[in-house]
Amino acid sequence: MKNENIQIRHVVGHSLNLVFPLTMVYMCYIILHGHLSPGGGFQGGVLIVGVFLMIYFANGYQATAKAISFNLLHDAEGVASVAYVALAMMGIAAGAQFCENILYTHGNIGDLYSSGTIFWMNLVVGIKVMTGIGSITLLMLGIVNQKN
Amino acid sequence: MKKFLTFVSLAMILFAGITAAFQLAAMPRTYEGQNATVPVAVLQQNPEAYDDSTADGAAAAIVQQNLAKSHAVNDVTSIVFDFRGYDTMGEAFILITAVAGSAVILFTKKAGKEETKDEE
Repeated sequence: MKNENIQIRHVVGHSLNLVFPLTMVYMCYIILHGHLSPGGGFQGGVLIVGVFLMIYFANGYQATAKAISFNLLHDAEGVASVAYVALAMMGIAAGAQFCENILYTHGNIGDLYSSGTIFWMNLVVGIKVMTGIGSITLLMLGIVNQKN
Repeated sequence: MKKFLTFVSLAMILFAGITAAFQLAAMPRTYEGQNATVPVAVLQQNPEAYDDSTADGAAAAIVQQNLAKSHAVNDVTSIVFDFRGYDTMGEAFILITAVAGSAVILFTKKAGKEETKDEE
């Protein structure tokens, strides 16, 4: 039984090594091109959590908990939420409304860096969703793999 | 007295609803397809005749005003992160609450199990 598990893990691990870089690049593409194509921060962040799950299937809970730290994810979520509020307050600081786009003249229409605060808020929400749902997933995997 | 107040308030709500319905029916339509190249009756029989190379009507207003106000090509993202950014902030803060709630529940479960082990 134990041998079979190890063989299955070898197969899944090698396929993960093949797919992992492409998947990460595609998810980051979905987050960064939120203002140009369908997708955005929420969707890309949730899909990156799928990559966390792939790592778990290939390497087991111990290796995943070593590679992805729960405390780091939790702290990064707080930092991202503070950054979102700061970006939204930039409108008030410039004399406009809350969440108003004041940097939109930077860059040409259709470029990667364009549309001002939409780009930055998209990135921040992507980080926030990735860390939030990733930490919930790690917590639940820890409960499932508890030794009792 | 209570029954009477309930009856009066319900009657007022009903009256307001009926008057609002009549006023809405009397209002002019917001979009009648004046700029559309193909009439709606023809579109129902032949949907492929719709010319979607250029936006018309409400779609044109949304696309052009969005491009002028925020240089974003994707309208949905500009609504979610610019025009309704306050809404997105609330949605994102729900996640923090979810993480905190699940952490409280699951960590207390772990601690409780350890305590029972010690007692044994």
